[in-house]
Amino acid sequence: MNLSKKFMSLTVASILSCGFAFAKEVKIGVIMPMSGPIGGFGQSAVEGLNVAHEMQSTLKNGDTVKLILVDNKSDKIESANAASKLTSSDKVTAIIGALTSTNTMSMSKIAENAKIPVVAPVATNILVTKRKEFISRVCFSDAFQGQVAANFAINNLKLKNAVLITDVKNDYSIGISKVFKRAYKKLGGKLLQTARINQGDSDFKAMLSNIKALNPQLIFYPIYSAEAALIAKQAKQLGITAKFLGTDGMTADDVFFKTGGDAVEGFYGTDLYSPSAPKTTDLSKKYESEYKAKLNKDVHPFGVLAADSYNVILNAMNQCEDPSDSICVNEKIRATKNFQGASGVITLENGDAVRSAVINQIVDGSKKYLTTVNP
Amino acid sequence: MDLLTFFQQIINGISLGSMYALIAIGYTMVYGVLRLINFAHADIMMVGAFAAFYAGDSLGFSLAFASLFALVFSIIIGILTDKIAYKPLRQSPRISLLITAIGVSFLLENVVNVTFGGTPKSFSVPEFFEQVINVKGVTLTPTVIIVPIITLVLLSILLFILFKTKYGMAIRALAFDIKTVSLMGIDSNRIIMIVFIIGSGLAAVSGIFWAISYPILTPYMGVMIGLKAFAAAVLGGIGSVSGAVLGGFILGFTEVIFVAFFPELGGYKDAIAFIFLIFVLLFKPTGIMGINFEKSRF
Repeated sequence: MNLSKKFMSLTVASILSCGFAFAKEVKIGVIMPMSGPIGGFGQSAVEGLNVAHEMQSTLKNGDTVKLILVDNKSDKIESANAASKLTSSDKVTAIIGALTSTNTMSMSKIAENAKIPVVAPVATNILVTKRKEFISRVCFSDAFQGQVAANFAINNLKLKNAVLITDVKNDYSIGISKVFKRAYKKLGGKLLQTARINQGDSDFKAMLSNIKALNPQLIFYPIYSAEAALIAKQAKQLGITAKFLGTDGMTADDVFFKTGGDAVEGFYGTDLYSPSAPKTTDLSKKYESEYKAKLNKDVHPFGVLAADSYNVILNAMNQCEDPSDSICVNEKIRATKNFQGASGVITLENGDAVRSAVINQIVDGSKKYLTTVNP
Repeated sequence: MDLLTFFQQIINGISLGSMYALIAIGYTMVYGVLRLINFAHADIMMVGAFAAFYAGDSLGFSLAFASLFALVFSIIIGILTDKIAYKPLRQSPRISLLITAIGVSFLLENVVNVTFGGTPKSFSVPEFFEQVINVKGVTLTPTVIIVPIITLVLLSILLFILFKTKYGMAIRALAFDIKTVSLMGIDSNRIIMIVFIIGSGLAAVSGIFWAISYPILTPYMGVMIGLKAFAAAVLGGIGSVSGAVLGGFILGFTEVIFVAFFPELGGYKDAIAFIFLIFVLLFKPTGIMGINFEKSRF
């Protein structure tokens, strides 16, 4: 009885699989921080990713693409666990994630060993792709962003003495700070102090009182939204008049604008994408209108880059005879050249995207596009 | 460091220290009676902050009503944790109680994480608390003045309850010896419930003021604050209410002074707070207002 049942289901299964042999299912794993301190980042990214998935959910040969989302709870270890689960039990062909630098780096070894390509949407740390064969990203690296920030501070804002605030718990912050420090000094700027904070801190008044006494023209702080907002607020309370310059992580979570309020007015920020910047590709226009129709808000930089991670993977899969052959897909991902993505034109070199950065200023509680900086 | 910055840093120290002090009192209260390090205390503070956030943001209450809501809600949570988690373990070894407290702490964090989604929440602060008072270049916010006053007022009320009322006498007696006191006809469970009401109420008040001062809320915000406040309570001599307040201020000042003199190491100020604690305990194991636990408490 039992045996025959098993046999039956086996036959059914084989018939079913035969039936779908023409239109298979290709799986892409998605590792995102959907909860925890940077949960807002992950939620924005997944919203943007879903728009791209709805726009195009089949490959050229008719295979359907299925996304498997795993929450890494903003945590390193959970990211690595998620990668093991996706590679060993879900058998995905490629992975999008784990969004940010620290979490992507903690899972890269597992993906390398399993030979599964990873495309990171906004992991900008220099080390993310260094000596990695299967890790790529659709954003620029911190080396570029730090350089852009230093150039902008000296050449456009003409602010020659600055204080740098680094988050010691955040690889992203450490990476940008290192490059900025070198570049800013080289361009003739003077760094008065490097103050350090720890992600999760809430009282910065002692640090800011000291900075106020130094009276710098510029405060450059490549840190995430929550701490950035609290620093802005406390700086305003203490009467600090220096200009603030942040990076893409500063404005990535809406909490920055909500908590910051009028304290963040006039802040500058380098960014990966600006919704008000001129569009360079057809897909970017189409994507924006779809995004606005579905979510009724401006395109989030993390959303559009998650979407482009997906688009780049799909583009690579379309070029492979067997779209579920992860080694072929990886080769094609890394050979991406002049791909017309939703966030702009993407070319990958050794896994890093060579692309331009934008600079925004915060006006009336939202980002206003100022200029684009090409590599 | 010029004089202006020096005074500003003193203000910063008072503002941070009074915050730690307010939370530390709650730790000490429960410890004094049950000899339980109530790890869930800081999480009840977090729940209080979130309850005020929910009442203000989703139900549209004013801050006063939102605070009242948060206070009542936290007290209910406090009573429930005692009744459900701690009461069945009264006769068990103390280590079981400690582990239960850690479990309650995780439970509260994760329940809030699931309910509110885990992303940082922005607490809307009324205009009144946003104003800046400038005294000869030293800037103050209303919370910097209010929080120390609230801390001292609550401390006096607490000392009054403990030393001048019948319930206070029962609490002190209970802290001395639960079994004997029960034999004398005092309902120990009821008195312990009162302790938890006071403790959770204090946690809610500190949660609300924390949210006003640092208006970003996360479900895990209680973890580090709780450890610091606990360190403050130990520093002052755990079990002593006045000691907790003293410890809170000392810890707040230590942090501010450290960051003021070594801004380059500011990211490691948490470590410094704990290293300082270890040093104090090396020379005075019972804390500053050290109490011999075998003799008396509070």
